[in-house]
Parts: sequence; C-alpha cells; structure tokens
Amino acid sequence: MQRFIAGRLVQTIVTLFVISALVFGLVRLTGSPIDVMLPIEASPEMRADLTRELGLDQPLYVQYFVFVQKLAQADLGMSIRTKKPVTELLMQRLPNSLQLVGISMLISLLIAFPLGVIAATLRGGIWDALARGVALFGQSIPTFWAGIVLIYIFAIQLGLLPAGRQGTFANLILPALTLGLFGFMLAGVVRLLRDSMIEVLDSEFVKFARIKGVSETIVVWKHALKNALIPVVTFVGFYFGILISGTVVVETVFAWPGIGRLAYEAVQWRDYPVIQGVVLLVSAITLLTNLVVDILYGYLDPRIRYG
Amino acid sequence: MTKQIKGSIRFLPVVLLLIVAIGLINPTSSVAKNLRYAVQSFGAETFDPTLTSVTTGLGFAGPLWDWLTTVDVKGNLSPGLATSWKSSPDAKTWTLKLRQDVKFHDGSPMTAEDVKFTLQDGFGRKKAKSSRSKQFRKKIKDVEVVDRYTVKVIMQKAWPTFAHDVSNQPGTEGIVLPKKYIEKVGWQVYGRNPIGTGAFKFLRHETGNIVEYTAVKDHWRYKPQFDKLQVMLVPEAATRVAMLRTGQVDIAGVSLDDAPGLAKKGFKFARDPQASSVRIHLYGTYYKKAGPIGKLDVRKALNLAINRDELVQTLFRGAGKPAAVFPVSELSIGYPKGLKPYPFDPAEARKLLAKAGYPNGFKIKLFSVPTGGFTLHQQVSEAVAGYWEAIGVKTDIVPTDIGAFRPLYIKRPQAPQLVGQASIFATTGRLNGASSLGIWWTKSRKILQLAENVDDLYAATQKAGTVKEIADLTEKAFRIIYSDYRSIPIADVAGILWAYGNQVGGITVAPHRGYVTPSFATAVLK
Repeated sequence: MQRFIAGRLVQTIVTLFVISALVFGLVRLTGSPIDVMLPIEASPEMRADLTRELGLDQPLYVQYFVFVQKLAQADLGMSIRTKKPVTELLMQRLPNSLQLVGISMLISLLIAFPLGVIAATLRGGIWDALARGVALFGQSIPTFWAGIVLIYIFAIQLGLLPAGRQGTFANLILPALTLGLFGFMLAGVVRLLRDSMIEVLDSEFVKFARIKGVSETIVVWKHALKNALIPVVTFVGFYFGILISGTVVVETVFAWPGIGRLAYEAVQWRDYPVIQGVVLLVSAITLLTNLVVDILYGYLDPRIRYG
Repeated sequence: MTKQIKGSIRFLPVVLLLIVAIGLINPTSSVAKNLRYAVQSFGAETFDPTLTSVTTGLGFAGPLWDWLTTVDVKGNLSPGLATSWKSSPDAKTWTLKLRQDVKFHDGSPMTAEDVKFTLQDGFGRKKAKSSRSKQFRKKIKDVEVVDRYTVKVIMQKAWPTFAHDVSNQPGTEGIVLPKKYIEKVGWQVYGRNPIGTGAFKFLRHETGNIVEYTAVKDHWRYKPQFDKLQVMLVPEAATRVAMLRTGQVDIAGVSLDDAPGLAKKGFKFARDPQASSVRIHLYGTYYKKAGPIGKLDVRKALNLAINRDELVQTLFRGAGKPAAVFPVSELSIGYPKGLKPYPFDPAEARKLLAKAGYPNGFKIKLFSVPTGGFTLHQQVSEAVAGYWEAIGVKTDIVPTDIGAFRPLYIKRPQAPQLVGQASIFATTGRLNGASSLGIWWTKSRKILQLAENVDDLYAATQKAGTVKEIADLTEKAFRIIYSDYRSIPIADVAGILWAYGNQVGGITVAPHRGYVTPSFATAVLK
C-alpha cells in the first residue's frame, strides 16, 4: 500500500510538471498582458519597458526555467494585475471554493443516494421514473438561470436569504443549492448509482444473501450499496476537481469569491502567473483526489489489491 | 417550579440557536450608517494610481483621493487641492497655490513637496503606466517648490490645458500622493496600504471581493454622512439588482434594461454626466487594400443605413442621443457644435453602394468587443449587422475580447485581418478633444489610425499656445472626419448609471474619463 501511494505521488509530480509546461505555453498563445494593461496610447518604449519588467522579453525556455525554479521553492510568482503573490490569492480563494463545493456536493449526495437506490430497487415503477426525472431536470436547467430564479424566489420575493456575496452561512445556501441541485453531480450520481445498483442487485452474492434470509434493507443498504459505490466514488472524485475551478458561473451569479472567478478574471487580464497557479492547484487537487479514490476502492472492494 | 425552570433551561440553547440563526439568515441586517456599493468591475484592482491605465479602478480606489482641480458637469474648472492656478503668457510655466488645510490619512499635511513628488517621482517615473504618464514625463521639465503651499511647474513647451489635465476628468494624474509615506514604505507597500487626501480612508481589501473605507470626518471638503464605505464586486447585473432590492446594498451600478423596473419600485438614479461614445470603427480606410470601405460612397452608405434614433429609443431606452462624431463629449475642448447626426436613408445607401460598384453589397467583418464598461456591445453589433444586411452588406459578427483584439489594431501597419473591417467600440471622450483626436484618428500616431487627413491639425494643436486655439483646431479636424464619413458614430449614451435606495437620499456623480464613479462623499443619509 505504501509503495502504491509513493508511486502514485511520483506520478502526480511528473503529471504536474507536464501540465505546468503545457499551461505555460498555451496561456501565452492567447495574447499578452501588455495589451490589456497599458493605455491605448502607450508608446513602443512603454510597451518594451513593461515587457522587460515582466520578464516577457526573455526566450520562452528561459521564462519557463525561471518559473520552474520558483515553483520548486513553492513560489508561483506575483500577479501581473494586482501585484500580489499568486499563492496569497489562491489561499484566499481556495477555502471559499472548498466551502461552496463541499456543501453543494453534500446536498447532491444526500438527495442522489436515496434517489439512486430507490430507482434501482423499484425499477420500472413510478419512483424510478420520478428519480430519473429529477436527475434529468437537474441536468437540463442551466445553473445560470437556476441561480437567478432562486435569487428571485428566496431573496426578492420571500426575503428569506441574501441574494449574493459571501457572509454568514445564509449566504452560502443559494449558491450551494444551485450547484447541488442543478450541477451535473446530482444527475450523474443518481444515474450511475441506479445502474450500478441494478447490476449488483442481480449478482450471485446478493441472491445468496436473500436465500440466507438476510433482510432486504440490509441487502440493499449494506451489501449492494457498498459494492455499487465504486463507479460513483470515481465520478465524485473526478468531479470534485472539476468543480473547484468549474463553478465560475455560480460564483459570478452569486458574487462568490472562489477559484473559478479568480481564473476567469486572470484569463481576461492575461495574468499568466495567476492562470498558471490556478491550473496547477486544480490539477494537484484532481490528482490527489484520484489517489484518495484509488485508496477508497480497497475499502469498498477488498478484492482490489495494490501492487 | 425547579423542575419547570430546569425544563425551560434545557430549551434555552435551542432558543439561543434559533435567535442566532434568524440573525444570520436575515439578509437585510446591516450596520447603521454603512454605505454599501455594488460595482461590476474592480478594473486593475490596484491602489497605486500611477500603475492603472484603466480608470475602472476609480470605482475601486477613487474614494481615497482628491484632484488638484475639479471639472464640473459643464466642463468648467474649479478649485480642488489647488485654490488657484496661473499660467505664464507662453503657457510654459504654471503656478499652483495649494490649500493649507489638507491632510493625508496618516495626519501629515499635504504640501508643495507632495505635488512635486507626485509629478516627478510618481507619474514621472519610468514605471508609471497611467494613461498620460508618458505625456507628463515628456512635457514637464521641472517642478519647483516656491514655498510650502506654492508650486511652479515648468514645461518643455507650451501646455495651455495643464489645469484641465490635472482635474478629475481626464484620469489619475491630478491626484496628489504622499511623498514622505511612499518614500518610507515604498511603492509596493503603498499599493497595498494606500493613503490619500480623499474623504474616505483605506481600511481593508480582499482581492476580487471587497474594499472597505472609513469616512474622514474632518475632511477639508466634504462631511461624509456615512461612517463606512464598502465597495463590493458583484459582476452579475441581475445579482446587483437583487441585492439592491433586498437591501443588501445601498447603491449599485445597473444597466439601462434594469432601470425601468427599479424606478417602479421607487429607486432613484444617479447618471454619468459624461456620455459614452458608442460607435463602429472602420479600419484602414485609407490603405490601398482597404477594399469597399476605402471609398467615401461606401462609408456614407454604411452610415445612412443605420437608424440611430431607433437604436437610442430601443436598445438605449432613450438614455442618450444620436451622435455625429466621436469620441468627444459636449464638455470636451474642441467639441464640434452644431453637427447633425447622419440621417437614416437606406434607399440612398443602396444607391450609393451601386454607384460605388457594389450593387449586390459586399462582405464585412464586425468585431464585437466589450470596451469602456459598455455592456451592450453584442446587441449593438447585431442591430448594426441587421441594418447593413438590409442594404446588402453581409456582416459577419466576430466576438472577441480586448486582450485578443488590441494587438490587431495597434500593429504597425495595422493587421491585414483588420484592414477593411469594422468593430464596435465605446469610450468616453476626453476633456481635451485634441487628445481624442491624436489617439483615435491620426495616422502619424499610429494607434487607431482611423483617418489620414487630420494629422496636420493635430500637430498644430500640440504647438498651440491657448486653449481656444486648441479648441478651434480640434473642431476643424472633427468636421473633416465628419464630412469624410471616416467611421460610424452611433450615439452618445449615458451607459453607466447607479440606482440607489435604502439609506441614500441623493448622490452626485462627477465626470471622469472612462469609467466614472459616484462621489460617495456627497451621498446623503436619508
């Protein structure tokens, strides 16, 4: 197990290294911060000065070498726009994103688990149709529109919740509901769990448990559910990484200062160090989450061995 | 009895929790006398005014500062940090008398040394990137401290509009920065912990989220009626409106679309006194490879095809008027008065196209790019494309952003993929119309290069000795541009407006170039 984790960590570092090279090159293809930062009447000298100041006059491989050198010291550089250290900006935003994603995932899973299990156990019936309908509905409604509608109902009409921004726990409810109910997490988990449960419920060991007289509740909620979780855990782990930076729409609608909006603003300003920082952070989170998921497999299915 | 008390006590935590929850959940709870402002963008999000070229930053950091002179909504100059200003007959030396009761937020007095420092070591330093720092660096030869409150600015050549150029309208260069403080902490620290002479003192900032200020109660000019000012970044328009309606904020930047609904709910509005010039640029009209738009008849046809009145009444909801030139506003020096917007005459437009050799029209690209805080760029692009399609000009709308688009238009010579094509643009005219002329129209300065035949007039404005001379030359140039149909003015639109309610009884908006901001210090407490 330890060898497995060590091996995966090395893999993670190599992958991050490749990603850093890719993002470093690709982000420079989209335009230069010089064009966004300087006034329209900036002279060629002003442009040259700023290019030099930002180190963008150096050959690309030199710039990359400097970037990697700093990265090795956990220094992601300074934001071109705000002149603040990228690490500081990321650390300011990451807890906000984790909070939003964490609560929204909790909402999704709390709804998706019973729905998925009920749909599988009562397959073909009205509950199955209802569960699949809820999943389809959540998947079909754009989060942008859903967010605005929730604001209209709960903030403007009922006056129960704040319309946006960070503040107390109440401020978190609407964005988390939007993401939890109308993101892809709910729909994805319901569908995966339903299909996986149907397969497991038809398996030999479940039939054997029933013959042995184990109660249906134990069969479904203990034996079958645990075995049906592997694809769900994979999906949730994978989706967690995506959500950390992929909630830009919800963050924008609710003025929630998370990683997604930081990335969006950085792209608008061609703020290379921030874009690189966000991509590396999100990649690291995704890779580490996948590692955790791999470890969880062993718990869910003891037959899985780590070589 | 004891049992009853014990029973009640058992429920006490639950009751307390409920009270706390209700307190937390109540969206309208707020600290008294806080002025909360929801803004669409923080711009460059820096407090160092020498580093920000994009004046969106004024909504973010503007409350910190005062300017040497002040321009009112009619373009008239009045005292600011300077009580008076006087130019030598050749306009090469300006003497400014400063107020003697102005303090920075750290309690130190503002003196002539600070003005000298600001002009020479602030906006004059090589690292300065504000829109006119290059102009200030090149034109100012020396700054002499005559006495503690008198400063003499010596120019390399005549600068008749200097007093206008250090006002609040053109940009950030008229701000006075604290010499001692910056020399002590350095520019980098100043950018994070700024002080100024404005009616609000910096308290805290969370990047991309919020900036907070406290009111300076003994400010020399204003008596802020609010204790604290919170400027919050809320990018989505619908959310700003919702926050305003639910009392989460007191002032919000809103769009023209949202205004009627808010007015019905009793909200009031403060308007940008200086309109945004919304227009279509035609690129490289004098290049040999300009294609159809190289011909005057085609440019005229493209202009006559557009129903400006309709656009103003529908898209801009009546909050503007059709424009004849851009980008100068009525308070600009050299605004060509009396020019009528081109009429709407599609029949004539079709005839002109046929006459120019394009009876079946032609194809043109229209780059749709958001500029100047103007949010209707896509809608205007679609409307213009519709008008042009009606006369046979097939218009391909190309959505882009300023970061990708600017390299095309500042290229020398202009990028081939742009020559012969068009784009939407919206910016506010500068106080000095000659500056707008130089940037947007001249061939020699090679920035926008929209016209080739106004360079001599622009060059003359740079040698002019009086404001009137500059005004006359600028006006003449704009009339030439008008008669040549060099590009396509659409409308002067009050594109930025603020809705307020709740605690606010009224607010004044001072003219600034580009992105303006309400003068929070003037906000009246209801």
